[in-house]
Amino acid sequence: MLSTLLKHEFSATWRVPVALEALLILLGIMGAVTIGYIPQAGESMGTSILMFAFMALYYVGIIAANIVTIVYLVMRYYKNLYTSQGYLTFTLPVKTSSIITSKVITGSVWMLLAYICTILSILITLFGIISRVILSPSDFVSIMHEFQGTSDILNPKFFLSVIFLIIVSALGTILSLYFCITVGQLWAKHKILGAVLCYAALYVVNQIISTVIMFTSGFFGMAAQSSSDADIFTRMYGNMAFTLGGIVLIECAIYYVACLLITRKKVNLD
Amino acid sequence: MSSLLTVSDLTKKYGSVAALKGISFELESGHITGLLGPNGSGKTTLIKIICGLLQPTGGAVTVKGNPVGPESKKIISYLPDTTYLDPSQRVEDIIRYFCDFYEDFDMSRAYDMLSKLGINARDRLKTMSKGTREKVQLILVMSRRAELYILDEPIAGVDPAARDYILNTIITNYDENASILLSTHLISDVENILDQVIFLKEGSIVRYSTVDEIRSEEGQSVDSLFREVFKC
Repeated sequence: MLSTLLKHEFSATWRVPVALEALLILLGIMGAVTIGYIPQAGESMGTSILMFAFMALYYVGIIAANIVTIVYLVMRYYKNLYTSQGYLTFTLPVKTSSIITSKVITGSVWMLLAYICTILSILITLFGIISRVILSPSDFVSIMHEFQGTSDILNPKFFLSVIFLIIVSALGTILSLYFCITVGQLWAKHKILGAVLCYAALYVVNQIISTVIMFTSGFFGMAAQSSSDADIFTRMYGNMAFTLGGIVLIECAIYYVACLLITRKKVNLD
Repeated sequence: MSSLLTVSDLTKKYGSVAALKGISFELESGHITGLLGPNGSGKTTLIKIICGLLQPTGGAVTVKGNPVGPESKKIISYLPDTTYLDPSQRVEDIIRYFCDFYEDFDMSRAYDMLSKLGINARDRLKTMSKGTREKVQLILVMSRRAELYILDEPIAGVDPAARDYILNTIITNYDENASILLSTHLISDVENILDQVIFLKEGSIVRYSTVDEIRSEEGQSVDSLFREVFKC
């Protein structure tokens, strides 16, 4: 039944996230075109204002698209499970674990898509900036060689660690929010306030843990290191990404089990 | 005859307030049972526990020997006392949804009832009146060939003509071997279709008997007895 739940969940939710991510890509393309093709010579005040306005719009657009995606997914979870729609969700002949899992998988996929599209959008805009300041393709190649020389950023291990962190971050974002909504349901009244307070507490705890981990893994990365500066950079951030990702995965497991147990044992639809 | 629904010593407390006080009863197949009581007597609480929407404080519920869970939910077709469908969905989407999850859902029966009411399956719920939405919900619930229908206040807040339609839909769309547990406080409207009644008062069962027994033993209708038992 999990596959049936997933089919209906994806079918019911795809429109909003896809539209928002398309907007992100569109913003990136607009950025690349605007920045890349505005004449450079003796840039006028008007051009500068236009570019500044665009960058502000771009920044707000990216933040807004991501926030709306998150709010949409959280509202969907809340409405489907804990409002009158829960009367249908919880009377389906399926296990509670299947219901929670289907919500987590679809939410994480849409969140991951939002992250990927945000990165793509920034890369597209960066392409516009690069094409504006670099005169020829050979300039670009030589700059990349220079960059590669000073930093081992194109190292596959470093890339893998970043990709791993992005994937688990999408999962972690969704599960932490679902966890807060679920905990909020334990309040007899003011359930949404309960969820918000839970999120605030979780945020503080996560910030403390993240800070500690970043310092320790970073220092360990550097301490274990004895070669060039470039290696230090990639190893330090690579280690940090893997360590943070690991921590987030452990948190995800805790959130998931907590969501499951609370929903299974404590669900009380008013 | 084996029991279809067994409720044993069921208790539900909200803080220090007991909504259900250790009630026990059994339902067998092939009966229409009225769950009758005034507002706040515990009808909806009992139904929600049977359907898995509330966790009991104590006691147990089994449906054909199954505890509340996926197996019991396959057997029960539940109509809540509120609109529980996503208003942004089209009726045809919801029908597909029910078809995918309930093996006993009869799609042709659903479309037949929709066409009789002139409801377009392509319409979204949010474009419909409250009354039409409730009818769609009833059609979905009664289009299942379930063994136990649990209907929570199906005729509350609707006009007399709609009441007739709803009751007619209920009695013409359930199999003879199935059972219906119907909660209401509008006794006179449902009395004629009931086989037996459970009177619930302040979380306790004060009477569980057949309609014929009430008429022969008490010499009065269920409605009259209800007014007597629950006199303020």
